[in-house]
Amino acid sequence: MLSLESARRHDIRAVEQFLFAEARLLDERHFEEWAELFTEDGVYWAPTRHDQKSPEEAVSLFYDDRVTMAARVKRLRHPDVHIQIPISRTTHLVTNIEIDPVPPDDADIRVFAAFMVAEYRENADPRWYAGRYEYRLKSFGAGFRIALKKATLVNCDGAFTSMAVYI
Amino acid sequence: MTDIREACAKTTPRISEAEIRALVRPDRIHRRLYTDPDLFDLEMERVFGQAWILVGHDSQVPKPHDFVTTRIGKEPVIMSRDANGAVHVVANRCAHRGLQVCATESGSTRHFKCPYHGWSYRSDGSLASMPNAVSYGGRDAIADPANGLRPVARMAIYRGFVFASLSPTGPSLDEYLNGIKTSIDDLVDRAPDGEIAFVGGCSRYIVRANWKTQIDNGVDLHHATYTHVSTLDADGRQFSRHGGGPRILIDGKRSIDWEPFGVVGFPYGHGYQGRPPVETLPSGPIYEDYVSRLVAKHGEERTKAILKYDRFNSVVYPSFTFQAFGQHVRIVRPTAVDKTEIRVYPVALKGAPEAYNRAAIRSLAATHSAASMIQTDDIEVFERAQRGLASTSNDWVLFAGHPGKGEEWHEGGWRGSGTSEFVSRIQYAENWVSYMCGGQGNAVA
Repeated sequence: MLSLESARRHDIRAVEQFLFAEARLLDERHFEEWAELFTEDGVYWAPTRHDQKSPEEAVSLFYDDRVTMAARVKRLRHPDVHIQIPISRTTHLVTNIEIDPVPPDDADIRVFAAFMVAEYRENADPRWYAGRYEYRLKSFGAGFRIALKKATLVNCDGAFTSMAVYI
Repeated sequence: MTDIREACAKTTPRISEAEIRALVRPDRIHRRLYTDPDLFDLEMERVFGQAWILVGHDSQVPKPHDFVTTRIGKEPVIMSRDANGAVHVVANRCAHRGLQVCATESGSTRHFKCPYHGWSYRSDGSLASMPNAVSYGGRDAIADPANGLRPVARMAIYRGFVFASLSPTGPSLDEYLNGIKTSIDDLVDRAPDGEIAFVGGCSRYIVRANWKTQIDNGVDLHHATYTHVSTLDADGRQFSRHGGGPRILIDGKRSIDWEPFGVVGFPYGHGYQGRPPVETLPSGPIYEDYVSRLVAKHGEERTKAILKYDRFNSVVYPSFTFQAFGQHVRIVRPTAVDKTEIRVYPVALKGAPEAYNRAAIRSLAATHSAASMIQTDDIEVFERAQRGLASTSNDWVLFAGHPGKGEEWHEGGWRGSGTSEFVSRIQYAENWVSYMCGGQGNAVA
């Protein structure tokens, strides 16, 4: 067992509360506020391979730096964003939250979690997504900022119907 | 053997030839082309069973014994490279009890071994061994080609693109591709080494709509103003890997005039969209490095010709679309009358700087993944079309814009006005009907 010292330095409850709040911002479609949780060089990433190291090694489902994220969020507010008429309602379940006892150099904290996301658009069948999150967080005031949110779907190398909102 | 195969090969369609011909008029097609499962089954047999279909690219099997599995219409196939380096496309079907002998998407193996009774096939598809062979006649049975994985009727490769036809007769690949070879050349010539490779995996998405919606769209410039309006910035430009993309709206509301950009169509239903309105061309040190490598190989003059940007999306009917500038190939895989899988393969230009090719892989997340900002617009309209076509209020889907084919084009075929729907008319009236009535395409009425 590796040292738990680093994990102890951070309050697991504080990390959990941050992740739950982040998930709620997505579920409530507060996309602009959600994007503000990211550091200036922060990234949201959904790869197509389980062990994918970079968005340039293989294609990704999502790879949004803050510039792309801003474009996507702006598009989600456009009156003619056809893929969101009707809108997606989502519920993000975030569970199995662990703080990595040995965080990498580029983050104060690395968090592993499992997720399930339910998505529903009127007149369509509900859809389910499942997989694992990896977060790299940085301390920011009394809370955190996200340097990386990596969502690796259990079927990330499979075929998907359109995904309009963040998993 | 051959006689039995031919006698049993074609099912008797539940739809008569007269009925098929009545479904397509010169400027419109019946909604049943998108909604009728019987027509879909017949398309898999007669369109995907006759035309040259893109199986993949030979770079997907770079070394001896590499393989990938895919489908041609409904038929499961393996594309493999044998011990001597030759590419084969064979049925993924054991000659004994019919099992798929290979269950994985890709890999490398000297033998495909059937899990049922252990028949084992070489990477060229021939039978290597069968347990208890004596019960089947011993050595002769093992040597009998009928006991191997059956090769497709015809296979041919153009600049690394591996095509197969399930029909022993029909036009050669060269004759079939005709003028659209200029688009394939336009893509492959951009590689300083003159070769491309499929690298960076594959982005897969499912469209809950008929496969032809994706093919129709491949030669449609006009939709961009309406379908992709949410992807535009304040300047009316679309998101692009290289910065400001094509300008689609003027003054925030008026569509640009698509007509001057043109659309080009060829016999057998292929075509391409003219280059959309002024787009920021790439710049920066990586691009300059790329250009200098082209110049070192080909000189200034030829490099200029190679980098000429005169077309956007190209379609090779009925199985794929691609963009030279966007560096990707999209294979259209029909699954059911109302379900299609699209596989998007990033393309590396061999000899280009690694960083240049890597940027192309990365950018597909924003443009052509299942979660991308541009492709999801298209998927939504395809699916909306599929649902609207359930209506029996109106039987017809129109492709009537700009009657006629336009001017004769120097690459062969014709060039029409930017919003002309003539390429779709070639696809339906001159090819779909021909195939569906048992012909070999390109039947000009």
